[in-house]
Amino acid sequence: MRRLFYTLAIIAALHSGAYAQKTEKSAELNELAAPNSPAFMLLDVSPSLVESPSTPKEFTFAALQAFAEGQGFPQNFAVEFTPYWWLRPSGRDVYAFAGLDRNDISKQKPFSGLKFSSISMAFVNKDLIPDQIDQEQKIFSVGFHSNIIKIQQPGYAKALTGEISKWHKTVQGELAVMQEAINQENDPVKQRKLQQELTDKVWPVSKNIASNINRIINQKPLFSWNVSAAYSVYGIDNNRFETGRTGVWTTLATFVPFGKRLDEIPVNYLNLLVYSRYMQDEFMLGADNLVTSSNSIDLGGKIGFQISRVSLAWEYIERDYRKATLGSSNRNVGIVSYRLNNNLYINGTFGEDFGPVEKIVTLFGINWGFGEEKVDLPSPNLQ
Amino acid sequence: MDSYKAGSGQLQILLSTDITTIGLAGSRATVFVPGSGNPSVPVAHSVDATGDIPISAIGLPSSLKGKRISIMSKIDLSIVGDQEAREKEFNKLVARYFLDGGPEHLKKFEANFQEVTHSDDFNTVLIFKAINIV
Repeated sequence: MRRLFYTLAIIAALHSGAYAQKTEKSAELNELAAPNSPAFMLLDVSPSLVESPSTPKEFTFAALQAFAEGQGFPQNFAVEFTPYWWLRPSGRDVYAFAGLDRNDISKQKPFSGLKFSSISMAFVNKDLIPDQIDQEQKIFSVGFHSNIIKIQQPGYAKALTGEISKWHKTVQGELAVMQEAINQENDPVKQRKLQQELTDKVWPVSKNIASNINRIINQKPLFSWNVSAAYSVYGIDNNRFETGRTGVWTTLATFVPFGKRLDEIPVNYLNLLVYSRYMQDEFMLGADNLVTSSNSIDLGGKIGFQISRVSLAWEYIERDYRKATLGSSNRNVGIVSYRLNNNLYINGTFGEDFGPVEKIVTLFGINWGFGEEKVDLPSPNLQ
Repeated sequence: MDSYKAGSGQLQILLSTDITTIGLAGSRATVFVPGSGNPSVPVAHSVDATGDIPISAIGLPSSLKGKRISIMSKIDLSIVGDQEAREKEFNKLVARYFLDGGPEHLKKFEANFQEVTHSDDFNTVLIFKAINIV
């Protein structure tokens, strides 16, 4: 049943363009969705511009999401890189990883998310120069993302510490059994074989406790403050690259749990996010219909509900250009997301996007990451 | 196999381990006479999920000579993202063992490749280190 649902969802995602509404100029992506990495968010091609805080599990050492095919210049893909996974800092242990204070493990470390800061790069083909020529530019952007403060839900540290202690105590019993078996085996070859068998053996009690620990670590924080920055260059022609957009933005988020809980861990949240961005754009459409440069300030937010696997959100952002003649524009979209499994999401974004002419956003796509559950996706078709 | 000279001093031999991982870890140390068939005697264990065994007195040189110390650690990497991240973390694992109190004074041992096993999905890692006391 689930496999059937996956298949239908993927087919729907790849063909949703047929149902996209269009006005004079439509922003349309009917392939796999662009990831929410700063390098993409700067270019306003992500499903949501107001980024939600991530949990440590969601940070992989590299993420690559291709959402279109192309020739020559790298086409529409992003790489997100978290240096933490490549470094060997001292004091690496499970408590530091989970943001617990080693000196008082009933307390959490609010700055523990800093270590998961990431760098992203993107290659995008998009017409971001508002001239009369309808031609995509080859755009390269690089971004940085960091979680400055993360305050976990009440009881996080106590619950996590309790489960970790329980795991450690349980494993001492398992070690006693395994170690005695290996100690009594004198043949090194048989000893090695036995060690491998014991490694592969499932110990249900400690496995269940580890699952609980996973769920506690991955719950949404009560409060989070994220900062991102990105820079982009546009390929004007084959020989000329010029600075396009440069931006820095911040998001404050709170997740208030409600309703159903699973083993005391919330699964439903009311999300409130406040967002602001400063951006310098070298290619804006001026009042005289000529391309000009301007900086702008975004202010907006997102409100949404996450109910088990489904999340519904409304995002509103007002963009004010510093050049009075450019005025302001806004983005007013609804976002629907369904989590198929730990690493696969279907997103839909519908509404009005920024721009001097009214643009309807109809993005429907799939986001996925590296994970335990692998899903083969068909090659996206641009036509 | 690694070995450590116990000597003939009157002070206890000291053992400690240092496991470096962001996974959940637990360790346990035993002493036994190889090939005797007698059950092992637990002498030390980790006190939290860092897997580190703090400096522990494990016996007088005279009582340890001719015996073997085994230290076993179980590491759960299931909290570490996806399989590629777990494999990366597995490759960064460090297990170091320290013995002190004998004529060799403080001696450091490290787990070698042959002493480490992992499940196919890198969720579970076992490290088994044995050191003969001579």
